[in-house]
Amino acid sequence: MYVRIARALASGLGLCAALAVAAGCGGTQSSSTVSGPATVATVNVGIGTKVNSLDPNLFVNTTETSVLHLIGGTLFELRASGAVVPGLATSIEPSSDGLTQTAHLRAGLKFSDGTPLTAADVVATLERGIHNRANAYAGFYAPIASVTAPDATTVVFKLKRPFPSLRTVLGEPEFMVLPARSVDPAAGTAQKSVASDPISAGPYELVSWGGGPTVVLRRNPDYFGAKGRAATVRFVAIPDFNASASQLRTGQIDMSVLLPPSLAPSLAQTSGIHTVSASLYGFQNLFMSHKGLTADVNVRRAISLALDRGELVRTALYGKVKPLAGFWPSTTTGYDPGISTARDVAGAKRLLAGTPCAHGCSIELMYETDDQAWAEQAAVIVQSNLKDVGIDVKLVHLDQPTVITRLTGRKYDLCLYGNYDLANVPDGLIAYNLLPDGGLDAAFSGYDSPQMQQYAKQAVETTGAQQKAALRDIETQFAKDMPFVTFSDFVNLYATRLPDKVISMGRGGYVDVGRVGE
Amino acid sequence: MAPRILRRSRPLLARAGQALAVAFIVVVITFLLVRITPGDPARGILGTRATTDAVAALRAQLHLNEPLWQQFTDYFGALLHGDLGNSVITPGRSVWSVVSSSFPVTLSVIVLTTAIATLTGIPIGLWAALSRRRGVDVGVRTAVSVSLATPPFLFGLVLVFVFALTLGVLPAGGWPGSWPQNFSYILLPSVALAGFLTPLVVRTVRQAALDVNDEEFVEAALARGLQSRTIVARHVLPNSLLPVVTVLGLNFAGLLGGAVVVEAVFNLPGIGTQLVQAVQQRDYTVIQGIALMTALVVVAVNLVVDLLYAVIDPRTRRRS
Repeated sequence: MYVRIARALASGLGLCAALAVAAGCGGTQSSSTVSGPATVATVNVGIGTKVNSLDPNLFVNTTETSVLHLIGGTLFELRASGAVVPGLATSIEPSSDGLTQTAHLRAGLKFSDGTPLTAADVVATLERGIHNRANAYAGFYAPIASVTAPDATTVVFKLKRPFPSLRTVLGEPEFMVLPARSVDPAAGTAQKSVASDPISAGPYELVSWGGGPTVVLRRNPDYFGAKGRAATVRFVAIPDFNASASQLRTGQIDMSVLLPPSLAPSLAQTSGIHTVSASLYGFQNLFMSHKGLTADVNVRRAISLALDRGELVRTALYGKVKPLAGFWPSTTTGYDPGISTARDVAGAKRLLAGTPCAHGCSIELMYETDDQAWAEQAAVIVQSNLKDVGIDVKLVHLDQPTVITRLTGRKYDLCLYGNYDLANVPDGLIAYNLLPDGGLDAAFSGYDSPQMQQYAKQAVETTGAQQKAALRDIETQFAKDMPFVTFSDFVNLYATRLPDKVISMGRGGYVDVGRVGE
Repeated sequence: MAPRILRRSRPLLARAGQALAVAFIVVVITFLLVRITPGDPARGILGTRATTDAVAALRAQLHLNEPLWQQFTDYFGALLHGDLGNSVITPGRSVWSVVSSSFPVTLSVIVLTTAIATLTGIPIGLWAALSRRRGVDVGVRTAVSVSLATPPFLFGLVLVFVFALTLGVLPAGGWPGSWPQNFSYILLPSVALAGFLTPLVVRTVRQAALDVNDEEFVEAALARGLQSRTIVARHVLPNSLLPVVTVLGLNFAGLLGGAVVVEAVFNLPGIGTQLVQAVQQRDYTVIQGIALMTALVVVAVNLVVDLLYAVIDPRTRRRS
C-alpha cells in the first residue's frame, strides 16, 4: 500500500542529486553481491501489484511507477542511485527572481513511434496536467503557473513561487512527455490510449500489456541516450510474496521486489540470489488522528518516547533499516543523526501526567497487511510498548481500502504506515506530512501550524544554507508538535539473480534498468 | 406432438427460469454489498496523496456521485444488452475481457482437478469398500481424513517445495498463456485442489459400494457364479457413480472458492486472483461481473449434473 501513500510523496527540491549518491545520504545495504553479465536479453521482474493505468496523471503503485519510469521520456532523468541527469532537456536555467525557468531540449528528439518530439509536445503534456482536475499529482503541478514554447527546443516555465526542485521533479514519471495529439491541454484530458498504451520517449517502449498481469517492454530504438542493459523487460504481477520468492528460486523470474523483510534471511542463503534492503527517501511511521486522546500533544510525544524503536526494527523489519525518531529520514539532506531513538519510559510517563492518560487509557491502532507484511508484528510491539506506560492498545486489522477510507476521513486513533518520496528533495515529504493543503491533510491529522508552514515555505523556495536552516527548523518544530511518530527509515527489500548494474531498485522505490556505459 | 415437446422441455425451461432468478438476485446483492463496503474506487485510483478536489472530480467522471438507484438502473440496463461494463480501476478495460481471460484459467484447473479426483478417487473408494483386508479400509479412511484436514494452500506449498524447488521438474507458478505449456503450470495447482476433492470422492464411492454390495441383485449375481471383477464392473461401479456425480456437482462452487487460495500460491491469473484484486481495489464492476458469471456457471454446472443423472440413472429418466 505504500505504493499509494508512498508514491504519494514525489517532489522536488533540486539540491541533491549529488548528495543522494554521497555517503552522507544513507544507503542501500546488500546482504551479498553477485557477478553476472553486463547486458541480458530479457529480465523478468516479479512484483506484487499489477498495472491499472499508465496515464502519467493517474499512476499510483510501484509497478506503474517502474513501467512509466522506463518508458517515459522526461526532461531530466532519475537514476536508481538518486542522481538526476539530463534527459530530453540538456539544461534548465532559473531567472534571477526564481519565478521563471527555461529548459532547452535536445535537437532531433523522437517518440518511440518515430514521430518528432518538440517543445510543443512538452507544453501540451504539462498544460494537460495543470488543467486536469483529477490529476493525482496536482500538488506537484501546483507551483507551475504556465508552460510555453517560444521555439521547437525551448520550454519556459512560469512559476507561482520559486521552485528550485523543478529540475528534479521533472524527472519523475508524472511529468513524462506525451505526443500533443494525444492530449487536450485546455480540458485537462487525454485519449484513452494514454492509460493503456502510452507513447513517450524513454529508454524503453511498451510492447504489450492489455490490462492483464504482465507488462512487456523493449528497448526504444529512437531513445536519444545510452541503451538499457536489458533488451526486454517483463513485469509480472505476483501478489503472493512466497510465490514470488519461489519463482525467483527456480529462475522463472530474475528479480522479486517489495518483499517482506521476513523473507530476507532465507533468500540470502539461496545460491545465486542477492538481497538488497534499500532505504528510501521516506519513513515508516505511526499516524495519529489528533482526535480524542491524540489531540493532546503530550500524549503524542509520550507515545514517541515509549516506542522501542530498536525492537521494532529488529523484530518487525529484521534489522534491515535505521531507527528514526525525527522527521527527516537518514537518506535525506535534512537528517539529524543527533536525534535520540532510545526508549524513555520514565519520560513518557512524566509527559502523560496531567493528560487523560495519566491513570491509564485505551486507544485503537489500525493497520493493514495487504502491502505491509511487517505491520502485524509491529502492531504487537507497539501494543506492548504502550502498555508499559499505561496505554491499552486495541489492535484493528483491516484491509487496505478500508484503512485508506478511515485515514482520509480521520476515523482512527493510530495507524501504522509509511511514506516516501521518489527523490531526495524536501517538497514531497513536507507537502504531504506537514501542510494542511498538501494532499494528505498533513498526514491525516489535520495538522495546521502557521510556524511550520513558514519553515516549509523557506525549505521549498530556497537552496543552500537558507534551506538547510529551514530543514533544521522543521525538525525542531516537528519534535515540538509531534504531528505523528516516525520509527524507522522506509525500507524496500528486493532480491535478484542479476547484478545491480543491470537492474536495481533505488531509494526512489522504482525498478531501474542500468544503461550501457554508465 | 407440440404438447409432448413442451412437456419434455418444461424442466429445462424451469431451470432457465431459476437461473435467471439466481442471476438477478446475485446482481442486486452484489451491487449493494460492494457499495456499502468501506472504500472508494476513486481514492483507490488516485491514491491517498490526491487532494479531495481531485477525488471528487474523478468520482464525478466515474458517475459514482449519482444516486444508487440511478447507478443500478444504468448498470442493469446495460446488463440486459449483454454489457457487463468497464473496469472502474483500469480505464478502457471491459469487464468481459477480465472475465473471459481469467475464467478459462480457473476452469482448466477445475477440470483437471475433477479428472484427477475422479480417476484416483473411484478406484481407491472401490478398493477400500471391497478389499477383504481390513487394514486397507482403515488406511484409506485415515488418509482421507488427513487429506480433508489439510488446507489446499498448504498442500500446494509442499508441492512447490518438492516438485519445483527441490526436484525442479515443474514450475513454481505463473501462466505462460498458451497450450500445451499451460498444462505443466496447472498440474500442481490441480493436484493441490484434488487433495480436497479426491477424499470426498473416495468416501462417497466407498459408502455407495458398500451399500450396493449388500443389495440382493449382487448376491444373485454371485449365486449365478459371476466373477467378482464382473460384478464390480457391471453392478457395483455403475450404481456407485450417481452419488459421485452429486458430490462433484455440489463441490464445483467449493472448487471455485478453493481456487482463489490455490491461484494465489501458484500465481495463476484466474478468476480468484481477479476477484481478490477487484475487492482490494473496490473495482465495483469487475466484482459484479465475476459474481454474476460465477453464479451462472454454478447454475449451469448444476443443470449439467441433473442431465447427467438422467443419463446415468434410468429411474430419473422415467420420473421426468
